[in-house]
Amino acid sequence: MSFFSSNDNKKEQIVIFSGMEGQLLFNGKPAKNTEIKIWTQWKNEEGETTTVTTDDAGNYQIPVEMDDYSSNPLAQLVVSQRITAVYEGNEYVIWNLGKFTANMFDEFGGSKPSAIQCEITDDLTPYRFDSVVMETSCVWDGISELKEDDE
Amino acid sequence: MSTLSPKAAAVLARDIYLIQNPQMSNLLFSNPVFRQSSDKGVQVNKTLKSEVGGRIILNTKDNFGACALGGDKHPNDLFLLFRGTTTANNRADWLTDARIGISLSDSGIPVHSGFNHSFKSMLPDIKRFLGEHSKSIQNIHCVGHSLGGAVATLAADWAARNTNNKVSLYTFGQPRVGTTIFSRSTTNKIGLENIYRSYHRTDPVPMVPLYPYVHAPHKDNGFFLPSNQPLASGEAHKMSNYVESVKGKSWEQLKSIVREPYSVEIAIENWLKSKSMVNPQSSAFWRWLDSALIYVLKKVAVTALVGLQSAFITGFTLADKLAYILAKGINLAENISIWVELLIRKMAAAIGIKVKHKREDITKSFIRRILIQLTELATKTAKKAIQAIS
Repeated sequence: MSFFSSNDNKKEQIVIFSGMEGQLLFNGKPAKNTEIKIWTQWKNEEGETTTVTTDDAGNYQIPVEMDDYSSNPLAQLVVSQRITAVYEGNEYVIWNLGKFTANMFDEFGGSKPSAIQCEITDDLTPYRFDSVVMETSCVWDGISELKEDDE
Repeated sequence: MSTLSPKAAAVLARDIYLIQNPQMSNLLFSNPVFRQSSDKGVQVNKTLKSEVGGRIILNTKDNFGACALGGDKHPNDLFLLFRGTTTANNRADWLTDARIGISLSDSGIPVHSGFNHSFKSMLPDIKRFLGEHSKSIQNIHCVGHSLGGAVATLAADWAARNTNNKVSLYTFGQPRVGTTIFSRSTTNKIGLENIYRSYHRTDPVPMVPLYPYVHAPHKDNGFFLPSNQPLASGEAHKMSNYVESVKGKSWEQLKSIVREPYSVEIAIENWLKSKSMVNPQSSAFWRWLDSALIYVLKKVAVTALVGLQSAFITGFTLADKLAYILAKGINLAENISIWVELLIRKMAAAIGIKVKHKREDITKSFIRRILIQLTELATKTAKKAIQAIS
């Protein structure tokens, strides 16, 4: 029993992960045929894992992930994302993200990113903007301008 | 000590939700408001687990809050943060669960037993963390949204009674925690000037639990934020919308937003009871009607557990839906139905319809008819008002 009856919970499609395409590097060189694991979690503890593999030039495409969402005013939407790259048997985290909204391209500040490059060996840099808190070793055009506006 | 800005407090109330997922807790603690580097053997933050089983938290051990030392700007500060319910933990029935009663807080004052149970399960860890840093701490900031705001209130109450630190409490859209006894006593202990309770006008959560629960600070309206939605709405409760509402504003600026008399419960009740002439031409009438409708609908919705969300679509659907809710309300206990009846009489008077004396005559179709006519009248009046200024 919730404050609002279940009949009133409007179902909508939300964006769990906006998808991305870019290049994976290891020490500046393309990380070819490398497995990338994308783990997302929002409605249960286990979450979902998707795997993609880079091509010979280190390029990869991660698909968009959508889900049905029944709005419940008493439950805050929290989406977690973690991306790891499995390079020569070692697993490296390249992306940790938490977001509180579920619109397309929230992860990138609201618009489609271009020129995404992720360097496996770089430290994760923290970013906080809009409804997103993240740390990543990926960069794209405009990433340095993303920050909370009046901190 | 430096008081947190509304935005900084709101960001913490939002980001503490990340604590639920152990893999994401670093994202919370990376906020420069917290101490980052760990000196030898010094634990700079700690995740708090709530061990409440079943009813409030789904898991027997769930990450529910955090203790963290302040960073360079807050060298002598401790942060106690608590989250509300999330989509990953869908037991969001804590608010209307009739089984939850009143129990005694740590200081022996009656409070909501569910919130109290949750707080008490984390208290040993809070005491331990505080004990390890007692020399360096002078100020404690307690922060939370929704259920987390209720627990933060209990944490602030405890800290104000049991430590010598200055305690500040920042909450967003929190439900009511205790009765007048608690509200008065905690306001005295924490200090009115240190309690920052913010809420959107149409957020339904701060409306509950119903009386005898009241808000702290005692006899103070807190920080009232306007919201875009005309009726009680889940949107108004979302933490991300609270962050947007307080962005770029100081506490002084927020405090200067005058709470409309239309939203003061006692004023609404007086308006409903008054025998004064109903003048649909006056904008005040519509403001009062809007508030009274929200007030009565919320009363019915909370008691009868019916939804309000779908009530925004079109005039026709709106009338159907509202008629359904209000008709439900007319059959509830006297303390609810009297307000529904008074509201219907006011609305009927506005469109010049006389309501018969018996309450049984106020049927769903009668209410629906009044609502449709009233909607038409409202549109007409609004059109007139627009024509008058153009």
